[in-house]
Amino acid sequence: MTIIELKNVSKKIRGVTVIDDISMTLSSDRVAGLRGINGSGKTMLMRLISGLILPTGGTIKIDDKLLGKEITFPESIGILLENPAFLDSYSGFQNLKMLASIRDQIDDDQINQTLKFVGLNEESAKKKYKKYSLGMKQRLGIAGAIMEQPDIVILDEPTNSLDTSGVELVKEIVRHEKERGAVVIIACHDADILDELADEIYYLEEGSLVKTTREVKQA
Amino acid sequence: MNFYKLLKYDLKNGFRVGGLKLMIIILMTLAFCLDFYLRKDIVYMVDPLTPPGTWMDYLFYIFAGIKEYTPSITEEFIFPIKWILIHLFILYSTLYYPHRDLSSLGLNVLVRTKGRLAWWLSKSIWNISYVLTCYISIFLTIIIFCLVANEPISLEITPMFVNDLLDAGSPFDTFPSYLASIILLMPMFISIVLNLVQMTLGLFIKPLYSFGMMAVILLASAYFLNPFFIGNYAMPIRSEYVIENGLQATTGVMLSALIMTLAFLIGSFYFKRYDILAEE
Repeated sequence: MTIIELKNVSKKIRGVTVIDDISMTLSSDRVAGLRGINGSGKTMLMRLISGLILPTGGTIKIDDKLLGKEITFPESIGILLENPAFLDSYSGFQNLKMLASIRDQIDDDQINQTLKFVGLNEESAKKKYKKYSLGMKQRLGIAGAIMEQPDIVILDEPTNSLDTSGVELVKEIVRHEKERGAVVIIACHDADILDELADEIYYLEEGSLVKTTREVKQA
Repeated sequence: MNFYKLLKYDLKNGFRVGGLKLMIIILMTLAFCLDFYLRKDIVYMVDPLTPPGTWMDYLFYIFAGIKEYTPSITEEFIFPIKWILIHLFILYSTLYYPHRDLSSLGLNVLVRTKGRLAWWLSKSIWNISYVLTCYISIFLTIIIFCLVANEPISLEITPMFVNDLLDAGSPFDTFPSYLASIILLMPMFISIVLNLVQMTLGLFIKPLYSFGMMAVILLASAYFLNPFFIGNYAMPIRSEYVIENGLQATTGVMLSALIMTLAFLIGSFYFKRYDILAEE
């Protein structure tokens, strides 16, 4: 059971408040949706939870461990932030293999399985990343986030550049990750997708949490 | 174990990115070697008694720098083109990798490493390794040129070239073997220091600005013979073994080691709290 606890978290960047006094608790088997217009603070919040930026006020705890003090990054996390970025001259498979080599938890077969799961067949996996379409890049980004079955999965606009089948795939992936027991945090412009997938939706406006909708699906 | 994998990633990825630039450094070295070879013939009018240029002579020619400049109406400032080109190009070669890595695969790599210090250390080791590789490439290129041009591969410095071709204005007729170590090691050591300082500055300001600051330091070092402008120690022509009251290499080593340590510590301390945002 993974618990992410944010208490009065604020973040200022170059004097501008980008996250303002946000508190929330996220736990396993739940999908948390983030909604808000561009610049509302969704990505910043995801970067804070990922440990990529540190709060200027408040605390973030992952399983009772203080982020930025006791741990630098969540111990088991997969992220897709904004646009996926990989190495152009490497194939999709080689990119994931390079990434997987850091933790050394999964083998080539598991990488291939994940690629298949996100809809990248053997031929696509062998293609160089620079030859990927936007949709393929997005699928590879999602594969990178979920391949090691992390406890926390962060997906920032995962449906960007995806066609209808791709969007359905994202929905399937999110459900799968939830069933597996991961905390899934997803930001998406499409209100219908969030309503369908999220157990709770956090509405952000100018860095502040303005509303929380719990148990959306049952409401 | 985790750090070893991170380092392996950085070495593999960093060298992949810098591979083409290494080729340019090799081509630059070949051009400078050819320049020295031809200049010998021009200055000594193809005199058959002219001694051949040794491997160390070629190296000295490329890394010499310029003698102390005293501003006056009669003496104009001669820009140390070869010296500055080599140093600036190596600095440029290492300029963008750490930043671009953070907005590419490196972001995902970083969250898998569990530590920011490991990331900084790995990037620092990559940086040093890359600079060392540049210098090894230069040394090997000169060896190959000497083999092709039938010039001796020797650590001997030919005294007549020092004043005639390098315009060192040296009062000495002979040069100790210690000078060869200075020619071989000091430009490389100073280059490592400058590259690390540039990488650290890149955390505070845009990489291009940190490159600009390094260029200013190099230019100021060429213009002023001052022990605090560390570029001076990368100019063997200003060594105490070439000119009277020249610079002592030991002072340069100590000063550089201090700057290098500070750059690493400041970088690692600052990177601990560094906000990793999307590239602007």
